[in-house]
Amino acid sequence: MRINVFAFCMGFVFFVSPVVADSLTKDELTRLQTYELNQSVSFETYTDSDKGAANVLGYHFDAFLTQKWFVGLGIFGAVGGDRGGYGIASVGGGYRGHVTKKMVSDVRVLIGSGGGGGVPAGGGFSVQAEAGLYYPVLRSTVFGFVRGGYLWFPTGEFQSPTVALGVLYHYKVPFLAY
Amino acid sequence: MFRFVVLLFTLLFVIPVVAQPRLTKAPQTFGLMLKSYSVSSAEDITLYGALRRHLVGRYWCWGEFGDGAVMGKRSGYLEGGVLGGAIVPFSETWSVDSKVMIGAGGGGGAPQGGGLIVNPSIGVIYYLNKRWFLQGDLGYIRFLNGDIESMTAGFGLHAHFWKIGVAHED
Repeated sequence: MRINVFAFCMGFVFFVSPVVADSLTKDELTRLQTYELNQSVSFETYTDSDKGAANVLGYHFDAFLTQKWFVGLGIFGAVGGDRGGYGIASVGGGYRGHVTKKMVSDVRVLIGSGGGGGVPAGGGFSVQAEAGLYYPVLRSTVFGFVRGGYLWFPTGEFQSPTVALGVLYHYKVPFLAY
Repeated sequence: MFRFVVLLFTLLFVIPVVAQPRLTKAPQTFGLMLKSYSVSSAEDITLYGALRRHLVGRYWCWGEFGDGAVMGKRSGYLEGGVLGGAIVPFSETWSVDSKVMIGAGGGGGAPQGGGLIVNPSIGVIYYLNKRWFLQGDLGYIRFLNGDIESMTAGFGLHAHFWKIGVAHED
């Protein structure tokens, strides 16, 4: 019985939802715009942990509100440094600019929740500020990057400089103002 | 067997060629939320996270949520899952919002047991403009195979947007 209910719910999610989507009108097609998105994965090191350097694997998703300002989220989980189970999920935003014609830079602030793995994170509230440099490795779509920043748990004791290396995928999707 | 192969090739190659792609739009909301409740009679916790709704028809919605502890002493405590509910407008700027969130939670040494969460809530929505709205709600959370059960209070800032997709029609 439970499996049937679960199957019904999954069927609803996957099959009914697309059906309720409406076609765009001619007017809406003329108003259709694109906006830019970034997805990136990173390998990040906390250089000042009480158990030695800790490493986390991270994922960022950025959506650009304008050419320069973006909002985004970040999810990180420990992969090294005796901190198994540690993770952060956070949201925030930032600003992007060009250093040279090809090289891009950004600054971002993420606010979220994290802890686990014995990290003294108090209530879990986290603040992370980062600056990054990005260089295209495949047209203007795939970038390699380095980011440096600082992570702070205001309600706990843990804080550390951070250094990250990663790969970023840049693309555009259609957007219709609500 | 031969007929089956011919039919399969027809389905795989002919239908996509004759289908006409068209753009579709589906209404969704995305927002940030704060939620507070009691882990025990002597301990409160506040979580911060995000919630996305897919709006279906005039009133109904389903979606996903995820949040984690930001206040209290349970760093590493997380919740995530799916939700279903309804948003019923009763004036131009106000709506009633009811939903049931089902998911998994725990961590931070909390007495979450197996971690299965049920969290019904009811609240109000105030539209700041056509796109942005504030939401406040009261609810009840229970860990079905754990020791946590409590009233909840939540607050959030959300935005409407269209999800653009591509559909094929003959």
